[in-house]
Amino acid sequence: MSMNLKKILLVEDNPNDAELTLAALGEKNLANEVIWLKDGQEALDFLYCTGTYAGREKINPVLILLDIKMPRVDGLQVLKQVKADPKLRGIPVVILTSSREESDLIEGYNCGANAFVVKPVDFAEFMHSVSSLGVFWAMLNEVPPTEI
Amino acid sequence: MTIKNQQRILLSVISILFAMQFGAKIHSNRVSGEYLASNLIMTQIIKEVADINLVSGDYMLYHNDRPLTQIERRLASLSRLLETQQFRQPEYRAIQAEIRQELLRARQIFGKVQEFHNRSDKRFDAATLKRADPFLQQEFENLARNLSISSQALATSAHGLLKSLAESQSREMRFYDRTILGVMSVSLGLVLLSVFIFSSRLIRSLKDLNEGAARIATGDLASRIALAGNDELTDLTRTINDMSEKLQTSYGALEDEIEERKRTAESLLESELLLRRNEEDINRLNRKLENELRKLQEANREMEAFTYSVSHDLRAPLRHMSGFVELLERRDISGLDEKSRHYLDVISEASKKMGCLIDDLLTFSRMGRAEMMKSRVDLQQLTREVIEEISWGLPPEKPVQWDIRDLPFVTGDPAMLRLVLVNLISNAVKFSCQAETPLIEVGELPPEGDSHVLYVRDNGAGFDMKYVDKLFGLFQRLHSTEEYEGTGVGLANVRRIIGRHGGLTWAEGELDKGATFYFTLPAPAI
Repeated sequence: MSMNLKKILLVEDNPNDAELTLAALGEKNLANEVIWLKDGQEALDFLYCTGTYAGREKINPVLILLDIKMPRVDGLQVLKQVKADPKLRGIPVVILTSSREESDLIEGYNCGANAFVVKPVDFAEFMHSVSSLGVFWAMLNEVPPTEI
Repeated sequence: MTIKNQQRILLSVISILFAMQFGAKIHSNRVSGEYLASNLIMTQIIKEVADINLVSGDYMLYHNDRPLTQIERRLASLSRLLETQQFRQPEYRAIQAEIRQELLRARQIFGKVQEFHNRSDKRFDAATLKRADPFLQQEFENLARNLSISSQALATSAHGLLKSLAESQSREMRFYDRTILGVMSVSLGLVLLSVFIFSSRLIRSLKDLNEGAARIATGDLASRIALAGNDELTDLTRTINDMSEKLQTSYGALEDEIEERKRTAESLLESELLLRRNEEDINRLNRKLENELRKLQEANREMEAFTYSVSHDLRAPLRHMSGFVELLERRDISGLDEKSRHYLDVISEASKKMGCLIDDLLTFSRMGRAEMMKSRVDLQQLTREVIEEISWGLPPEKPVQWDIRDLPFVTGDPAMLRLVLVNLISNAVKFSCQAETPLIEVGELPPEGDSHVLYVRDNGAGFDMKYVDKLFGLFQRLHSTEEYEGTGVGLANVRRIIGRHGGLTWAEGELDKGATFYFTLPAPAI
């Protein structure tokens, strides 16, 4: 299965959150490699194999976990670009954010987000939510085959 | 004297005068007729007398019977005529008497002639008689002569009477004509004079009246027409005076009215000016208010943005705290003593509580600015849903007794109203959990005007009414956190939402006897 080769992108500017998310994803022993990108620009570089990721293997990630508030390019901008690109729009994008704002939620879905998850404050809940996400989107969800 | 009476008198006078003339004329006609009759009789008398004279001549010539018979008849007729005629005037009567005397004498003579004739054997002539008896013949001739003379005297008297009658008649007729003419002239003059006086008085009065009326007509309502006499014109004058007085009064009233209206109009104008000034003031104030409102809205927006970002940014470190404590706990912490583990628990609990607080604050903030999506809401249905949702997480050992009355349809934002019910009902559950048998009642009071008054009642801890003001304040709590957990945002949220729906919130309670929370909502517009 090619699933083992595919990577999960975690786009999160806060290293604490990133660490906790990585811990949560690690909890379920997912085989997928999780790439942590610190902002939207890095995410776009990765997706389009530009900048620091110019020479990477041209395979789309299996899932993008996307924070909204980030420096340089924010999550919603990344989301818009991904969903506007025919080659990228098949990648499931889950917005993982602290915001409970309805406007963020609506905007997120309008831009084509596949899911919108509010990070719970309670760590047990957080662990549960994030690991479930990983299992669902990376292991259970089937996506149409795409190539770059 | 009234004109009508004057007119009556004048007409009566004229009528009397004409009646007098008429009477005089009739009288004169009658007198004239009398004269005519007398003349006729006298003419007959004269004719008879002339006949007697003639016939007596015949007799003297022929001495036959026939003239004697005629004389006799004529004498009888004369007597009759004289008997029938009656004169008023004494002189005529005297003449009449004279004629009668004469007639009497003639008859005596005629009697003697007849006697003589009968004695003389009727057949004789003058010559025979003279021869037979000259004395007798002489006597006879005397008789015949006397008869002739008497008849002539009779005729003379009758002529005299006739003449004096004619004179008298013409005299009397002349008198009557003069009288009638004089009376007519006088009455005509009188009538003309009275008409002149009458009409000139009338004209003068009318002139006065006309002038007075003209004065009034030109607007001199104060002027009055002088009253003169006591007739219809006086009445008319009085009426006109009354009229002008009334006119003056009503004109005065009218002028007052106009003055009053003018004053009213002026005051209206003033009020309008004042109103306009007030309007300007109001407009200015409105503009100011709008400005303030804009500023306020701006500040509100900034405040909301601030709240949002604070809440948002606060959540991350909290999550990190609880996350890393959790991660720490998952590692081997057997080396830690009891106290250290307690500290870790406190950190974890505190961060959880902080998370709840932030969540509630975010909700509160959202309820303040979220756009309301109003629709018809079935409170009955909504309450049932909320109760089901809340009951789901309740411990089963102390079931709550629910008493849900008939609840109305209202107009409002369903999500917000759900939050109101969630807050009130979960509060009720929370504060009645210590009661022996928790009883929660949701119902509606009789509506007040256009509003529904709803309430949620419990038999729980209740509260002291002196703190009722604090109940709906943000972060206000009447119980310690140890007793009843909570952030103190729930009722603030209820008040905010109901306020945005145009409703009111209040509460009644007694310590340890339960509490009732009321709120009003507008009835749905049909």
